[in-house]
Amino acid sequence: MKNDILNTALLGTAKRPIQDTDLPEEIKGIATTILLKKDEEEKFLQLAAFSLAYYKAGYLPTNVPKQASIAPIETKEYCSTAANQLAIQLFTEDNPNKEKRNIALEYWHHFMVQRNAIVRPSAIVAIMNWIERQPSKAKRKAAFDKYASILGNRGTWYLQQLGDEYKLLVNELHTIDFETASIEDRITLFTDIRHNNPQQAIPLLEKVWKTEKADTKQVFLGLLSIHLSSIEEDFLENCKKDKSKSVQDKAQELLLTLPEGRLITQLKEVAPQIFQIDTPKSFKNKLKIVMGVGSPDTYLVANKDISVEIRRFVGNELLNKKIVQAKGAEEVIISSSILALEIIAILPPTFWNTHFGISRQEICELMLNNKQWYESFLTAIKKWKDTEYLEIALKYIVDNNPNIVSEYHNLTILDILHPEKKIEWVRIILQKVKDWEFYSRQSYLLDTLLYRNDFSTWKTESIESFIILLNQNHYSSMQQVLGEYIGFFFEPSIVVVLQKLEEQATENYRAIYLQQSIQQIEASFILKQRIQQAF
Amino acid sequence: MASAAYTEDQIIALAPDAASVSAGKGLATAAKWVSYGADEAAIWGECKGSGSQPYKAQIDLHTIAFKCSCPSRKFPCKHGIGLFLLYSRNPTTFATTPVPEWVTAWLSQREARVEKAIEKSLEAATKPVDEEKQKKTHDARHQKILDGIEELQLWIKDIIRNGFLNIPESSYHNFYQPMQKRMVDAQANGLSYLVNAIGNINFYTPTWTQELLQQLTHIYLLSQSYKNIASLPESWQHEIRTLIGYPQAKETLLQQPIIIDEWLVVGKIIDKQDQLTSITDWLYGTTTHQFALLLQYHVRTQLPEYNLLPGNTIQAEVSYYQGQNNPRILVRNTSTTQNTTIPATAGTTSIVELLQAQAQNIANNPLTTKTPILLVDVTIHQYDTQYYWLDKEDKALPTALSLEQYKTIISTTGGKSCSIFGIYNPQNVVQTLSIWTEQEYIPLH
Repeated sequence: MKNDILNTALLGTAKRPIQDTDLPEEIKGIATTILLKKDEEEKFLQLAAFSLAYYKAGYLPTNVPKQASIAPIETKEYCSTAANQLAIQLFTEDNPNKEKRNIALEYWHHFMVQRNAIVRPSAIVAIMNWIERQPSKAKRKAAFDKYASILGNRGTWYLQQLGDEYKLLVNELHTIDFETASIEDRITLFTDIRHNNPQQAIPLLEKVWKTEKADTKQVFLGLLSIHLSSIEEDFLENCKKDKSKSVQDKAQELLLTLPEGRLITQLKEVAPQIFQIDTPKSFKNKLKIVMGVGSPDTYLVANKDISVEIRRFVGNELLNKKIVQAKGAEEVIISSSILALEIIAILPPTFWNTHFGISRQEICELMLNNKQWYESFLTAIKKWKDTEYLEIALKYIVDNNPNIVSEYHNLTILDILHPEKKIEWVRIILQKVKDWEFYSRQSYLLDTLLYRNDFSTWKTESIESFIILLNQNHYSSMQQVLGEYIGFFFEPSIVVVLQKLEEQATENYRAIYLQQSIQQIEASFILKQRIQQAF
Repeated sequence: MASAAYTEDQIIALAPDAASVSAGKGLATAAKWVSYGADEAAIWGECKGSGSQPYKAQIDLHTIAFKCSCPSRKFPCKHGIGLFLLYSRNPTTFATTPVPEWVTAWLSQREARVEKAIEKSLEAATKPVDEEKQKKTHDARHQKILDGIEELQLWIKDIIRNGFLNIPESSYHNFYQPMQKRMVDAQANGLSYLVNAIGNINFYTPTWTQELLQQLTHIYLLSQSYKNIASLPESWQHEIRTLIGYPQAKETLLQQPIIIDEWLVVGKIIDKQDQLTSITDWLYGTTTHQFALLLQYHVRTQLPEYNLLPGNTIQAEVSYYQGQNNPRILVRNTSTTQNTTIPATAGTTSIVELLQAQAQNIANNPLTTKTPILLVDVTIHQYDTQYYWLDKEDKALPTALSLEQYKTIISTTGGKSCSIFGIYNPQNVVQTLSIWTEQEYIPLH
């Protein structure tokens, strides 16, 4: 009957008038009266209204397979309702794609871990949605791992209710298919492999290498630098035949970091012929490294392969620009001074003290005093991650010429240090260098200072570094981040110091910046207080 | 100190837009306020602003009304939202005395205004009317509607004669619009609304034929009932007139019986269209066990008269609109807002029983389209792409939920049973508006 009505509705009463068929017993009487009407449309409308109401009234409950899953009982204590409410607010408002991490979230999480508490059920969706908003599966997995302990048993149970796409969060990272996953997930997986099973990396790359784009190849080559060893040398040699110049250069750059590699060995043989120690004639004269007279050009012409290899080195951009573009190995002529820069940048810094038989301190003095060589020498320290040499070099720099490290590319040399050491050196450098005008440099210093996650061990003396940075700040966007962090890490009394600075500021914009910071600091203090009170 | 506790969600729901929420949150800190306090009746505070004097913000807790001395044209402004959020976070820090004069003055003014409005309505009810003039106006409108209905029925019959087959293809999205406008001209706004609702049908779903037929037969039934209105009993006449679009005068409603109860605000639907916002609050009488519907309209720069917070209870005197069990109410008077939970005796635990009651509703009034329901002790389940509520006897009732709502339900219930409030629609699907677990009430946005 219902189908009859719907078919008539579709085709129209002109083509398919409604028939007196198949009427249920209960409505037959009234329906028969309706069906006596002459007007076909009115007849249909009345019968349809009546029948649809009849079917609606007779609607019976559906039977569906029951899934009897109940969330397991929690073994940890719930956090307070205030802490829970804060979690909902912080996770809902935070944008996981933003550049800076959310310090309030970190602070809240710090208390949750400290109290060994879990969130109440009403906050689970906000946290899980935040995890879902992470830009890649790998990042979602990392975020879930971080927050799993505060989501409790219900958090894990909740994910199981949501179907396959959510299961990755609780599964292993290695369920990612390297050949089909997104580039970001592949990078995360490959990084993980390089750290934990480096020997699996080359077979994995060989599977996809022919079809990869040059940009992707470069990224994976970059990751090979993690635990790079002579096992990868053949693969890298092959990459030097790649169609893409950038891939060739990247492979060459990596080969130059293999201490026992062919090229390094050759250069170690060449270097003594070019560099010699000039023995002081009297005790008043200092030691000096001098270039071997006439030998480099002659040597390079005779050793064409080496010269071509050197020319390809791209680790030091400054040097790369200066190198003469050669059309063929025969035409290669590199000036002796550029060759010297290349060799210093390529060879491990320890080569020099071993070769000349003098201390590291003396080598640093010799290299860093030379206006042409110091950048090459710092490049070598960075490339070979020689932290011992770096600390000697830094000490020499801050005592003698601190502006050397004010350039962003020189600053990044600090990345090879342990984070604690890095912070320590940033503080020292901040006090020595008087102007941090460029955003990239300020941003680097700020990132370094903010590295620390452990709120309980934050050292209050860092405030001096923050104030220097704050007072030298030229960028309003950085003001908010600075204020936010100062508010979280320090005591409210800091505002008084900043207010004095604001009063003393000679430039108007600096006073405005400081004022903005103070407002931000106050807002952070309040949020910090709310978090503290919630626990 | 006011006794009610308000959640951030409830307060945020009052904000006119996202910018006000964000700005309000920025002001929800003690440092931004020169002074603040609260008592049973109101919350007040003085906020530092750009002017020389602080802005005076105040909130009437009986009806959740806001006032602020700032120049903002938004209601509530960021100061109101900020003050309310601050109070919800730290109620114990609010001083209880002394209540500033500007607060007591405003509260008295509000009270006086309400009393005056009631008096005015009662006066109007007792005022002699020019019956002849009234009849003339009524007859003119009645005729206008009848003329409109003639055209409407002709239009429906044309569609029925030709069939629905071509409707999804030939500019179906606006085929009903001229008739909707015609109904506005005919002063039959109820019919206009029903014709316009055809636009909500999704012609890509397999059930569109039935949905369209249901809507057309409903319109036909209503219009036909209006044509025969003189032969119907009085309560039906009120029902039909209201559905057609006749308003029920406040002064008439004030003559209706007064129902006093503690009303639990069980669900809220906010529909924003251009400048006009309609707010539907569903209430449940904790003593009378009756549902009540409070429908309010307001333009963008205003707040509705009553800002009810879902999950809370209000003590109120109400009168029902006239008609066949019309759930719509006029609120005559309200007092303290309190937090409470759903009464143990409310609702039904059996889906079979619920459907039987629905069948009875349809039999009593075939023009009923949406009915409120309270189901107790049910669990949520997903089967294919459809969500269901399951009772203890494993009987299932389909429910319309977004993925976000489903997530909220499973995370808060943990697979255990809960109570729900929803609207049962003509497609036999429940639109779930809120749930109660053992611990809390959760509105589903």
